[in-house]
Amino acid sequence: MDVPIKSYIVWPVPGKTSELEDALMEMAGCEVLPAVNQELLLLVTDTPDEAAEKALCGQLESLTTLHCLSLVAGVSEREAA
Amino acid sequence: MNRRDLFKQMVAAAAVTAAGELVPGVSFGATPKVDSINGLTWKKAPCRFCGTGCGLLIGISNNRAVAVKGDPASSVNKGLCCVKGYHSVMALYGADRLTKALVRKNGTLVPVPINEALDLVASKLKENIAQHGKDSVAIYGSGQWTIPDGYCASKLFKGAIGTNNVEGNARLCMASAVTGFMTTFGLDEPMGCYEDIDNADVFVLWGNNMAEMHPVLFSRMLERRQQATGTLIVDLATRTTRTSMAADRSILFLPQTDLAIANAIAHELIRNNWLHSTFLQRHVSFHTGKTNIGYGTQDKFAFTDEPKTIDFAAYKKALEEYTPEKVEKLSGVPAREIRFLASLYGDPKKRVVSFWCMGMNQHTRGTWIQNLVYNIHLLTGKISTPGNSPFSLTGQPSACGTVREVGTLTNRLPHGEVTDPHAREMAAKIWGVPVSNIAPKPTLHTVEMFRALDRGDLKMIWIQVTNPMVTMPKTTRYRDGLKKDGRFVVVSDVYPTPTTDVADVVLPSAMWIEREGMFGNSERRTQHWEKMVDPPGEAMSDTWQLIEVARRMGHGKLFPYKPETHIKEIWEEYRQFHHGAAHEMASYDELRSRPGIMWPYVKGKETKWRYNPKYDPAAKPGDTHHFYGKPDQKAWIWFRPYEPAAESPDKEYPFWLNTGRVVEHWHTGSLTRRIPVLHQAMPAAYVELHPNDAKKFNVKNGDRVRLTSRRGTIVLPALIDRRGRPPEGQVFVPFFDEHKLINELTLDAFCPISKQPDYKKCAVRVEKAV
Repeated sequence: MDVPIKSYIVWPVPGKTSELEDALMEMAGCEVLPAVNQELLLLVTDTPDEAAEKALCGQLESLTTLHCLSLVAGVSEREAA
Repeated sequence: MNRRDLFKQMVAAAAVTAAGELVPGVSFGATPKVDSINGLTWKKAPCRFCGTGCGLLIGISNNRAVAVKGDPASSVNKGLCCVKGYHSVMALYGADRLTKALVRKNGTLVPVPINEALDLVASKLKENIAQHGKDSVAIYGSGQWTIPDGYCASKLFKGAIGTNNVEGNARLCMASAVTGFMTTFGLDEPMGCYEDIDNADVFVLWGNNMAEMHPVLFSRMLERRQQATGTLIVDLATRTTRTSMAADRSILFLPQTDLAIANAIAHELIRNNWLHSTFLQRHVSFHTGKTNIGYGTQDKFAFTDEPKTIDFAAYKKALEEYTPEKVEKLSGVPAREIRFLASLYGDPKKRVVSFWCMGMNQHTRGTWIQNLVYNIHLLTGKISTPGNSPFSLTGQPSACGTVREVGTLTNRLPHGEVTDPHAREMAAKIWGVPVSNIAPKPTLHTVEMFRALDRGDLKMIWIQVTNPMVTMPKTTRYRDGLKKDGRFVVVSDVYPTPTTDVADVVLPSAMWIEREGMFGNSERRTQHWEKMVDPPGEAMSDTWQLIEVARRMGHGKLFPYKPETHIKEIWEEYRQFHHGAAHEMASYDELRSRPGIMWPYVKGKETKWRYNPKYDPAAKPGDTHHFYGKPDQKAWIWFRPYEPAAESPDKEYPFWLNTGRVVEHWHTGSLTRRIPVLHQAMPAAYVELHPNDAKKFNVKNGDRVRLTSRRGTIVLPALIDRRGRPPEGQVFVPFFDEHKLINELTLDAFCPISKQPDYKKCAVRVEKAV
């Protein structure tokens, strides 16, 4: 089942939060909400289909400044239609 | 804003909430707001997961629920939601939703028109009653029953048929809370409310993983700590959890020894004279009961307590053996930690809330441990004032509203016990049945109900909104029992489950916002919602299924409700049971117009703190408190001793097994496992081990581990330090996974007073599986 809109809690490698935030913001389909008092980011991804989402996941996994991603929520237009 | 932007805001808001639960105090500045879009209508409903009772706003478009946001007008959650709440509407749209009735023919469940299935249910009920008597049939519902569902079930079975074979799965989750309240105060349900969180200085969590089980209340507690310097959260538990991580102090105790710890705290309060003497003199009496009371593991086990009044001196003497040093040896909790806990409760300047849920309820001495925690609050007078509250949290959305208040338990009526002639007279009058219809003795509590099915004493059971073939302890016996010849099983549900697998008739139910209803949450708050979308296929509300069957059985005069107004008619009939200052409930029209109203609701005012004349219209003015539930108008302090668990680790089975829940899933997972995101986040059950035990067995994360108890065996993947950490010698397994039935291993021992089983303690062997 495709779930093209998702949100994640993003745990950066310590000391690399800003670098990670910049990298995520440059990726297509990513919106970032940084915590103001912790080294923590929220990421919302918006991809057109499952293949694009898979590709984005691959890009995320390659980020060396990213320590860990926790999926929180997801929804698709198809589920909500 | 378009739909896609709305969904992005929804998932972002869910992430903010989840992050707040994982990282207390984290702030994201501007919180995403879930706004309106064209063509979407927002309607209020309580969340249908857990007992917190969060107010939700459901976005409806083209007869479909497409969005959820927290209701800022709800005082419960103030706009917050947890991950289950945010995804709740997706539970309506699983691919294998039951849309047609099924009847077993030649061993196979085949679709039939729902009217044919309802005819069969009614005829089978009549047939069994005629052949085997009225006590040969039973109904087993749930804390997820709406109030009208439970009311109609009780009226049909207790009023019309005349059997007390009515139970709810809340027997498995909060019966000890009920008997705790009844034995200490004479009336059920908490005296305080969630506003206690905003006023407390100290929170003591007794075996209660709130971070996962009540995440929104947990967030409120963390917010309180952030705003009020010095607020302290103490996690007193048998396992390290996300709650322990967020707490200021984590204290681990050995299973069952909470009884001794509570007594040791009382011992210290008395030794240090940290007592509220005036309160004790005016508002408390002292009592004791039977000891060595058994565990109910044998069929037809019976127990009746014999309360005896004692004085303070006798109570003090009975506590002498519970010195912190002696209890340290038993519980593993250092004496200094016990003294620390006593000092928190004993400090007159600190307002203390004690929270608990399944850890204290699912306990073979569940009633006793509730009594003992109340003792601590009563000794110090820390009760029924803002921020001073012993607070029993509930697991299900309407365990309080339906099971406890409507009385869908064998011993209860909508008002009072079946043994009370006045309660029977009231029920007969309101229901319009002869008083002789209502049986004066309780019959089968839940465990005994399933034992009776196995034995053949009970021939037919109708199960609604619950999944006992996953939740019953010692499941194998009860599953085999239901499959025996001569048993007839009807199941009303929304999805196929291991319980529908053993049914003779499956009735497709309308779920939650597909019908109108009310729930009652942990803080005595009744919450109404309207029907928002149509149910699929021939799915029908459980309320209307009961009405249809009642009419087919010839009881139509007792169920004269109209389809378009039946919920209002039922509510206004039901609330007659609670007229009076102690339990007055709001009218249907008031409930419709607000996110929820707490009872007692008198002259347009909610009662936030019962037994306190400043807030409670049923309490006599002129004093600080009035405990009007007991004949002596006092709260009862009970001496209850420590007694061991029904089954403890030994040479053959050397580990404790503890079972429970995870934040992603609701109970047996029949709903949340059909929500893709939640299922992906937690796809299967696991066994948690302490890293030292894992090392001993040469087990790494993901390795297969075999658990064996005297009742069954199971193989699960290991999880080490990923979610929780049990102490050495203990393992933990969640019960949400119908493919990994951990309850085949658990023991059907129960509290002899509440009859609630203990899912937290039995003995298992642990091996690496090859």
